[in-house]
Amino acid sequence: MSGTLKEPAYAHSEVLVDTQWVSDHLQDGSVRVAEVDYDPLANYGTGHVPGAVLFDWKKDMNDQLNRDILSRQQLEDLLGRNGITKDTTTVLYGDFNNWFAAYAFWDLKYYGVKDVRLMNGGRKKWLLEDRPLTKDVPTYQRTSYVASGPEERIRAYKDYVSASIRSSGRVLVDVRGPKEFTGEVLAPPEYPTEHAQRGGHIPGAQNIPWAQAVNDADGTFKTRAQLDELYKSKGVTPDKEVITYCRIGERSSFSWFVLRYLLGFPDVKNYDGSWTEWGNSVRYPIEK
Amino acid sequence: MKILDCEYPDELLYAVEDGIWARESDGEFVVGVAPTLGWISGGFTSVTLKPVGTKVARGKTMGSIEGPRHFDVLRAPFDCTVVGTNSAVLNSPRLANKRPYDEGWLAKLKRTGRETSLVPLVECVADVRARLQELRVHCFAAFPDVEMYEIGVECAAVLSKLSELIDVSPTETTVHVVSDDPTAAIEMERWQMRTGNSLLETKRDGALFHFIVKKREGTSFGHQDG
Repeated sequence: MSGTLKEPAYAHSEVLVDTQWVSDHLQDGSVRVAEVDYDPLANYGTGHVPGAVLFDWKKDMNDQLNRDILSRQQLEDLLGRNGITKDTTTVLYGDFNNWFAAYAFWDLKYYGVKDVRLMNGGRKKWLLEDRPLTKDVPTYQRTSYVASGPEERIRAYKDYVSASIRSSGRVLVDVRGPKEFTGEVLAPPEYPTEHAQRGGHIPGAQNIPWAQAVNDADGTFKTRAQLDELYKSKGVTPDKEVITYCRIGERSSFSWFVLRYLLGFPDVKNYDGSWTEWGNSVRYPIEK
Repeated sequence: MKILDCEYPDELLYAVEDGIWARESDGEFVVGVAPTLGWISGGFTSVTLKPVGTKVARGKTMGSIEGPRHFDVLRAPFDCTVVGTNSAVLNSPRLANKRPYDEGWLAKLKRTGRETSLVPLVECVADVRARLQELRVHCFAAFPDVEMYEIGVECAAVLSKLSELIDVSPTETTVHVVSDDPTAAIEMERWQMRTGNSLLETKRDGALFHFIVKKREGTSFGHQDG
């Protein structure tokens, strides 16, 4: 997965599978593949990995009332109705180079799900390789899943972030685009409704856009060496506690995955409130 | 003909589900993208095509399109060999959104197999309509360069933002503005007259107004508005 033998492997390569591995396990009852899309209509709905279920980002991965990620009960229901047990290997993939799949990965880890993996390259690579697709929506026998957690070690909240500003042992990583970081734009042009009142970034944050970790051509992760260099060059090193954020907490889950699993940083938190919380909060400082 | 405001030329062949059109000329097929793919992508930022000489089986990937909202592969409508690619589109992918049926064509294919996914428009009008509805496609008088979804924002604030955007954009820039302010239609007309920019289209969809605005040469009265 990480290339030739000469190249250093990812720190936790067991959480990453390639498209061939998924092809080889399509009939494996212990493996459940789930597609996680921002836009299921134009993606899962037009054809998906045979046997794959859909995790709908809006409906399944978020609390429908409070601003929060899905509740433990929602997660247990989601996994249960898709036939997932504690012994299942759950493989996530999706649109936008696994952006939302990585968010689901973080959600599952928050509730202590052990064997979750990402399919490297996501939907893009699967399509480019002309692998089989189906529109059939599978059903699996319902299970009763009991989650653990929450693992608060991987999640940061606003006050914690506030206390971390310019703290020597902690570093904030803003994974949005450079224009969002400087406040020139309030949201990326393709998500224009997801504004905050003010543009800019949390004081002291380093700007390392999430997409820099991806090979654009096929959606796979860059090599360990490239990723090491990307973060090291901005002073983001494993001796520090790292807090990632973006606009609504999804892109930052992706960078959280890279730092925690591909690079093996011991202490990485995702601030899912992100800019739409911070940028709207009274008396919370910003920089432009 | 127009299907739900989207242009589908009568004389072309279509593979509706794959979002492809084709025209046969001199024993070769010129293919391009239909409005469905353009809309769901949000405008192409990248188009890739298999190089000339590549043999592609029906239903397999002959290239890909990507925009800020969507990535998809382009599927060959029949067994074929790629005999030409449009370098203008490879260099400037949005050409395939703005001029999908002429300058924005994608590839030339030499057909080598009998089975085809293509059908004449008369045989697929209902399928096209269903597909446009399924993907909630909106077609406008011009494919927008920029989109402004301003739901819950007061009209004056929208116009102020629009003016700022138009000020810094090149001439001919096309903006798609979405507003739910009930006064939007009147305010937009006034804005057009005041600033000299063109309001190409106004469309109402339930509680939402869609406007297509084009920057005219030498107009920058923006900040007097709002």
